[in-house]
Amino acid sequence: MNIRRLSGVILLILLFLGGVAGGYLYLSKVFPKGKPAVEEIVGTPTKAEDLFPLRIYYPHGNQLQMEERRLPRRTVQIAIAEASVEEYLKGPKDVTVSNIPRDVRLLGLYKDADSILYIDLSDEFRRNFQGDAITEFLLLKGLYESLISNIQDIKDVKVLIEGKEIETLGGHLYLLYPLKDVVLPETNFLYSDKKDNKNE
Amino acid sequence: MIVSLSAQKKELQLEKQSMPILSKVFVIDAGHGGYDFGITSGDVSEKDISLSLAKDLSTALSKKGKKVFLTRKVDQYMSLADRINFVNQKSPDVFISLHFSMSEKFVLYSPKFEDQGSNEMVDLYNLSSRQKKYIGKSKALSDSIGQSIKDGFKADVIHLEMPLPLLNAVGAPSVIIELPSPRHVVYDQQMRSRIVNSIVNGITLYGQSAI
Repeated sequence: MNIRRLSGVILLILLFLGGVAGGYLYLSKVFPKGKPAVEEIVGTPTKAEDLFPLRIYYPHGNQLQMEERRLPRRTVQIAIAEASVEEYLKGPKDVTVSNIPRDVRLLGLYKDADSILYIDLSDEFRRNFQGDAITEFLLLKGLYESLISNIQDIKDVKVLIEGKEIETLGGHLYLLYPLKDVVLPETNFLYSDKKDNKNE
Repeated sequence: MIVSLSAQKKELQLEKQSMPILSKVFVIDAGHGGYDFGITSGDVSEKDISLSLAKDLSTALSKKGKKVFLTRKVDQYMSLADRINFVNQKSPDVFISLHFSMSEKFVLYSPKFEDQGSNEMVDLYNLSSRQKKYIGKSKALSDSIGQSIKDGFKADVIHLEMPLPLLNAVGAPSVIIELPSPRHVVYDQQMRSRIVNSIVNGITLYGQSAI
């Protein structure tokens, strides 16, 4: 009787150990060592459809040139505006000398009740600007177009420097007013003797 | 043949110089100033060269008996609004603003207005659009100075129409002249004299065309 009971207990222990060992082997295959399950889930590759295109407009000669940037999808409009400004400030790809001022930081961004988007930039935007009238015009026009073409429901764009209004960026155009009426009139390239564009 | 062509050219030059300048009152604006350096190249800055040229141009016109006002006479910051107010107070016959371009070329700007300008913000931006009355004369002034620069420098001159506040808000025949960047040109005394002569000849031509 005692022997039967003892062999029964041993059998149960063996079954239990077998179960533990089997379970361990199974789990170690599913979740390899050193890579926690959470990381595996987060690390799932982003699908192509999770990217969205941003149209960014940069000064190029006497006009603007559009570059498309693909970024992880954002749904909130203000996040799209933020991404648009940050991409714009990075400057065009494959260009060694850009007219976009260096080291400019986006300090803040908000939309008012009249659907005017306020962009607060660091002082480097003014301090590091070097250019003539057409350069200043295209710099502001590029920023305006980059925002208007990517964000819905904004009527205009206004630039602040370190949270304040300033009269002008480079001494040629007003920055006191929203950009639409400053940059929307087309510049007429009347004529040049050799029929070629400047800055090219 | 070469001699006669050269003589003919000299004769034309003398003729141009002896022509009277019909405009009487001038405002010359030296771009930038103070902490606003404008375009820089090494130690050379737009604010300094534009001021030297404005003073040289003022001297040349004063010698011809003209009344000349400078928006600034020293290295000081002056806002766009202050410059506009200054020009409108003086009511000149000609207003010239001197700047640098980013290229090796001369660029001349004429004013430009949007046709539908009934919008409140547009009116505010244009500061009552005082230039509208003078837009034809401004274009003639720009063309004359451009022609004179082209003749004097044998150089390409670019003409642009742009809604710049300094042009649109000024009640006078106006032009903004952007000189070649100091990255491409050395602005020594000789170069400055050539530029001043070309501008004065352009003003003379403008006066003749306005008769």
